[in-house]
Amino acid sequence: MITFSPLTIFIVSVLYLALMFGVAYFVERKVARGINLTNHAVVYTFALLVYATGWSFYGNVGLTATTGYLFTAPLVGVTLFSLFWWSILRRLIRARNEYNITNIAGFFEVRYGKSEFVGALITSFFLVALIPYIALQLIAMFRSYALLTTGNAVPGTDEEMINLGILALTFFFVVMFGFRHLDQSERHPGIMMVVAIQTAIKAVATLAAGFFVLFVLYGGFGDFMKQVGIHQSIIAAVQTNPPYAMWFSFLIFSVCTSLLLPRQFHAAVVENNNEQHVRTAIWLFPLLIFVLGFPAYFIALGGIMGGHDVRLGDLYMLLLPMKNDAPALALLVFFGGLSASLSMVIVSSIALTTMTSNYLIVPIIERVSSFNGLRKYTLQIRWAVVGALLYASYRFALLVKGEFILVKIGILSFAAVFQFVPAFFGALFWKRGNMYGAVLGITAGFAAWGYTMLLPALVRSNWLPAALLTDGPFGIALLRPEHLLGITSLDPLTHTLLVSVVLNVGCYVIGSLLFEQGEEEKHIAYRFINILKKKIDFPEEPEFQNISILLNEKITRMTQIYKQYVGEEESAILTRECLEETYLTGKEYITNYELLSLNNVIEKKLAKYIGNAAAKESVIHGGLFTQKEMATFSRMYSRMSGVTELSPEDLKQKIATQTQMERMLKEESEQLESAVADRTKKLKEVNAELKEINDVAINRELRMIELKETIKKLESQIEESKQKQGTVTP
Amino acid sequence: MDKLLQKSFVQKILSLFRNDAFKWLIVFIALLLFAGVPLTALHEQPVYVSVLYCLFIWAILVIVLALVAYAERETGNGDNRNNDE
Repeated sequence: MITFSPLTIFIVSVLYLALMFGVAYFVERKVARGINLTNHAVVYTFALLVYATGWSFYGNVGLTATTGYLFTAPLVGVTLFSLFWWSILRRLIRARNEYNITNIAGFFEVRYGKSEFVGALITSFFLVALIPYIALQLIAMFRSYALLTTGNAVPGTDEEMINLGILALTFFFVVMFGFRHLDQSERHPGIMMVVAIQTAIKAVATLAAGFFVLFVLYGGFGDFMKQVGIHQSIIAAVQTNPPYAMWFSFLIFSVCTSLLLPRQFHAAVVENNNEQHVRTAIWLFPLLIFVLGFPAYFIALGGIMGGHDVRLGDLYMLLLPMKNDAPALALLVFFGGLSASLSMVIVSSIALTTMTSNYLIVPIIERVSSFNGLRKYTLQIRWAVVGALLYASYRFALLVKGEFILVKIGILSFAAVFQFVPAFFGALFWKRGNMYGAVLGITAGFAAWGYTMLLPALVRSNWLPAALLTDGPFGIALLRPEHLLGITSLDPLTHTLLVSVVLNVGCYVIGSLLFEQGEEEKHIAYRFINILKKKIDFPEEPEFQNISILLNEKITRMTQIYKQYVGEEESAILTRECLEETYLTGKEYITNYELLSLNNVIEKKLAKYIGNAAAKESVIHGGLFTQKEMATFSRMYSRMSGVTELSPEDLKQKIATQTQMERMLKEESEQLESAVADRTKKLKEVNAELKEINDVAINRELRMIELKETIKKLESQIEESKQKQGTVTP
Repeated sequence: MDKLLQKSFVQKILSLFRNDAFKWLIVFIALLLFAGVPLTALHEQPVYVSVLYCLFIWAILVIVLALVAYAERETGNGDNRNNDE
């Protein structure tokens, strides 16, 4: 078997890392000149393959060799999940844009009422779940190095210095390209390009190893299958398929965690430049996962047929070229594994460091007055956190070396991260899901995970008494961790899935229904559910549009707030940016509405350094608002809640009420019309009567006049006749 | 005319692919098919054959996913799912 001298491997590794440094540096220089080379759908998708770690690069082969099709569960899981990415990922990307979310803990923190407690809780649980997972990557790196240099997969004590050297280089890489300076966006295009290139190396190495087994060790697919048929009994002796329930549980764990793992959230959401890139990722990501996965089948069977110890199945990919004199392929595979582990360690370290700094350290600095002076050292604190994380992972790797728990770490981490799933989907799709529900659900889920999965792993590593598993605590059989409440028909993985889902979802729903959301949480929940819809603006009422606030005073406050965390120059830049973004540059007085917009931008920018909850607290304590202004904003929020909280059901009810009122009005109007018609008719009748009376009266008058005239005529005739008679008689 | 009819038929099929209910159907069928992997043991098939069957289903799934992505791209333009709803 060929081996390499440690010096050769060390030099080649340093050269490889130098090349990656060069790539990252080149990309960052380009970005500084306004050309973002990572702003491409293919680069975005390749970077998403940070999902395939060193554990899966080597471990897929080991899993296939012993547990048949189990290795496909996490890979098929993410393939199926990508069907729904267009809807889910876009929601996350838009939430990131709107609330400046820079990590997965920030997502929960913002959605559940900008609660620092939620951020701290999520970060703590992630640290518990993921430090062992980072350790697993380090173990994969160390073991492959040991195998390549000594032919023995167990690293010796003399390799400790080399291992620490690899660790130091990783630390340097993370600090250099992740935390060289405090970056508002928390984006790292240089690192993303490196991760994308490392994915390409992983894919080429895996395909080359599969090709080597099929076409170099055997004469093509036909010959390979023929040989498999001949060696059937040897293969059958080591390879068994797990029950479907176990495969399904593994799939569920991996499906749900594929966006929730901090590194995945970082690559898929935080580093996304354009949501249209998701369209490409939907098909390219599953294709790459397939390319990385399917050669494991041929390599595993090739290893078994070659008579290699199945306990070394994880390293078959490296072992086969070494045993068959293919040094170039062995080196390629080594770098494939190194790329897989390194990319995971780098991106996870960046994500976990930001989370730890924002949600565990900054809140303490804010609360304890004697630590207030540390505000200016946020960057240095992050360096220390990176170092602490990597060293803790390294110590853990040394601790579990050769223990049973080692093979369980991957699935243990997946199952732990799964506990965030109900609160995650609730945050996106359930308006009533609230902080209390999330905290209760996640805590209950973690307790279930710890009891049914972590505890048995610790027992099997001989760190706890075996009686805990066989007899249960205090001899109570119903409390046996792997057979809780007497459930014996399920495999341990499915058992954990069942128990944790029931407890987690149950507590989340009950907690959310029992407790009310605060005003701000209600508003954020509404926005998260409707994140794909247009945003409703603030109500334009005279009170909020009154120009009465002196801007200069606010600028001074704003600069003071920023100065607590960044240098003088940086705070001046941030202040200018805030004014530009709110179109307030050059103004003397501003309105309440403009002040609120300014506050949002100040908070948003500060959140990038210290997280949303801490930013909010800092702005409030920084004295940006007077008491009167606070009262006005409170009224504005109430008005907004009134506008935004109209659910479809409420809307339907309102429409129904309006329709009913309209119908009643119509009926009333009809009644009025008929009453008017009646009155008109009566009036007409009375009018006719009056006319008749009038006519009679007029006729009578006319008759009277006629009669008077007749009388007059008759009188004049009588007079005339009298006069005639007088002249005749004298 | 034939071409127009053909085009509208293809569009209909593609629209079907991007329907959420159809996506859930794909998930359900895929899980059902994978459930058949350990069942091959009932027919005395060795494990390596069942894993090969599993890889085959997986490959088909990847192709179906590519079709869904294509459908999203082809029939999605101008649709409100691309923009603000």
